Amino acid sequence: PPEDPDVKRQKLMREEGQRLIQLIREGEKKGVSPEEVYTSVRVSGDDSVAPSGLQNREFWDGGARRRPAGRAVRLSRAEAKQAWLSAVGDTERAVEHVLRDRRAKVKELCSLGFSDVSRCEEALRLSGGEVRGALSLLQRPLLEPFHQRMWGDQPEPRIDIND
Amino acid sequence: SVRICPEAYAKDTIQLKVGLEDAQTVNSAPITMSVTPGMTISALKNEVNTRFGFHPRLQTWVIGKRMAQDKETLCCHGVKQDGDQAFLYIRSAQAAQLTREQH
Repeated sequence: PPEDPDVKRQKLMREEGQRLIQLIREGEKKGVSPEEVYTSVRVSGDDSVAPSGLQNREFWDGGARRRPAGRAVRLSRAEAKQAWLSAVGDTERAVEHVLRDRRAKVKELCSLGFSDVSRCEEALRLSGGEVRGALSLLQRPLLEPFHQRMWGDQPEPRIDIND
Repeated sequence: SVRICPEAYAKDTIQLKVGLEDAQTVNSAPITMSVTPGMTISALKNEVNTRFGFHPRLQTWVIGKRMAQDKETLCCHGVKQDGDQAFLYIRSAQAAQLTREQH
C-alpha cells in the first residue's frame, strides 16, 4: 500500500533532525559550536556529511563540497567561525555572508593574475580565508625556479665591463 | 472536580514531539510539548527554561535539516500537526560560557 504522505514527512523530519544533531554532537566534542557546524553544513550544501568526518578533519578540510548549483566550495574552519560571529547569530545570514565574501576574495585573486578559480578557492581554504596568505601560496610555485637556481652550482655569468 | 473548558485552549494547539539531546546522549529523551505553529523559537526557549530549567542560551533547536533561529516560527519549519518532531540540543554551559550565577 502507498505510504501515507504525512507519515513519510514526519519520518524525514525525524531522520534529518537526527543527522544534524549527530553532527552537532560530534562538533561539540571537538570544541566546535553548533552554529559553526550548521554554518558549514549549509555552506557546503551537503547534509550527508558523515559524523565521523568531523573527527578526521574531513568535514572542514577535505572532499569537494558542492552547492546545489554544482560549484564546489570548501570552507576553512576559520571562515565558518568568522562568518558566524559577524552575522551575530543569524545562521542564514552567515551562510550568505561567507559565500559573498568568498566570491569577492576569489575575484580579488583573479584580478591579481590568478585566473584558475579552483586553485584560488583551494589557496583560500588553506590560508583560512586570508587573501594575503592565499596569494603567497599561489605565488610560491612561480618563484620555485628562482629557489632552485639560488642553490644551483651554475656559475654566475661574468660581467664584462668592456662588452 | 475539575472540568477542562475546551474554549480556553487555542484550536491550533498541537503536540510536538521533542527529542532532548546533548553531547553525551546515546538515546534521546523524548518529551511532548503543547505548542501552536505560530510560536516563535524564542518563545519556545523561554517555555523550556521555565518548565525544565535550561537557559535559553544553552538551547539549540533543530527541526528537519535546519537549525531554528529565535525569531522564526515553528510553522515556517513545517511544524503543523500532532506528532511532528523537533530536537532540542542542550549545549554544555561551559562551552556557552554561562556561569551558575548567570543561570
